[in-house]
Amino acid sequence: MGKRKLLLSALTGGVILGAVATAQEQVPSHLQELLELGMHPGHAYVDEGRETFNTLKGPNGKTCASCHGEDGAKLEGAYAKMPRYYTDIDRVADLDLRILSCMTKYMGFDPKDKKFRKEFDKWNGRYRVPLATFVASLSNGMEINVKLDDPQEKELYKKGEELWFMRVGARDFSCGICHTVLTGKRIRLQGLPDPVKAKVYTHWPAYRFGSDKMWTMEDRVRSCFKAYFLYEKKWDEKKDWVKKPPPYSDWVIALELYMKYAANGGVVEVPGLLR
Amino acid sequence: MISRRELLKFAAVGTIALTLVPGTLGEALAAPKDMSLEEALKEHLGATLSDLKESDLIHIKAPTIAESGANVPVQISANVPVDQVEALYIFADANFNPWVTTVEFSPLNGEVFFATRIKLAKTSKVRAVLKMKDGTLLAAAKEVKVTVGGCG
Amino acid sequence: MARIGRAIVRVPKRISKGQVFKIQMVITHPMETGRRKDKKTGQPIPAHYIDLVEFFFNDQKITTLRTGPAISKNPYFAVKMKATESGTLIIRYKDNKGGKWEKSVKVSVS
Repeated sequence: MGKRKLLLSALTGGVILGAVATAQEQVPSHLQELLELGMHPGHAYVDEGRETFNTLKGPNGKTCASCHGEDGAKLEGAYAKMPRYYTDIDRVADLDLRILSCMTKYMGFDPKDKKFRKEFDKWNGRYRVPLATFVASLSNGMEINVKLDDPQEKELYKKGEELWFMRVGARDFSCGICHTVLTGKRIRLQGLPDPVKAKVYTHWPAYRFGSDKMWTMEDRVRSCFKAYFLYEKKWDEKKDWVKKPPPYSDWVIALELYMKYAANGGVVEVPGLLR
Repeated sequence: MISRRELLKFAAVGTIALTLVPGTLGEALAAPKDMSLEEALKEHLGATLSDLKESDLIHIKAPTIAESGANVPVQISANVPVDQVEALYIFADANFNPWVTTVEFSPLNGEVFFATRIKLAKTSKVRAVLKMKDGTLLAAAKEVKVTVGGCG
Repeated sequence: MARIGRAIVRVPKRISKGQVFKIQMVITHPMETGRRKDKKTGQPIPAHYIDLVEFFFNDQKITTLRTGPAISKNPYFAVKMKATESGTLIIRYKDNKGGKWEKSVKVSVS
């Protein structure tokens, strides 16, 4: 992306985000003090995820532990390498999609069952979020190591990088405007992180105390799309709001791959705690 | 003058009415009550604000600025022997009901210490009051500013 | 989150006699104040919160927490305890709607 375009983006971004201030003032220690307590509800999700992993029986009688070992013994370090290409679904999958495909292909859950999907896909989704938190925790202490060996991985990574800087939607925003160009500045009291440079992915999935829910990166990216009109398909006339991109879509996984690859070398520390 | 028969009739209807709508009545009775700090102190301690003795033996650890009022970490510790303490009370002045929680210690606790996360409706003083076994009320306060963080 | 009333408790693995150590817990609970309104119906969501937490060590009560809806959702509580002997810490907690739970954890003191 040319310097001129970058400058233009910066100026436009600065005008749009009128509430942005420089980060010269002390960053508030609210989050720090919450972390100092030592324990937070994210840990309860790990516990719930472990129990689901070991005891939830699919329609064909298998639990996650049937294939992956009690307490996920065989999945240690798996999260550190995701998203990656899986031959059995012929797609690059993130954690959320992999859990769905595993549950439908190998445990017998019906991917077309609307009730199951509604519960599974939604925010703070049943099974999905606790399992994702637990499986991610099995990579704690390990370095993120996303490889781009498979051609689909290479292609999706390029797409992710392109999407990161693509100005779209009614507000002409891109991820890059807030999270690359304006990093370090504030929106109200929130410092803008650069997920690429700061290897933010080491702390996801995270418990967001602002909403008192556990979020996976997929949830986070999709809600950003919705909040900033980054995804124009299917404008909901009744709600006067643009819908989120469908879950597990390439748009979302491409961006996750881009951010996770940038976090290579960072040590996984899950569950995270964020606003 | 109501006859005994009529009185019994009213009572019967009344009881049936109560059983038919227990939910609404129950919830109406349980509707949260707004009260001032003075009223909350009276209800829980039988005291007024002036009865509280400011003490630097009590330490309140809470953020000066909170990005979200829904999760404010509060850690209370005090340099007094725990067996002299009857209970610790936490109040948040600006909440609809300022009483937050009461902690009853025993000598086996070893130290006067309690930590939790609380909700603050808005910028408010967070108060810790130690009711001592001899009746004295030691208190400390810390102001926490509640703001809004980020977007989405 | 699926199950209300789930608790996780943390105590240090190695505790020496006489040491004052921290007991921490997180309970999964909505802690509804009764003041929030349902966005769709406009009706107030009924109050639903943990109102009592009791700590017992080797069947002796050591701490009582009387709590209310001003405690955050998915509450965190921490108290301290003086280590005298090994044993079982049982935490009994309930909410205002009849929910009653208990969680026990081993404490080993050397």
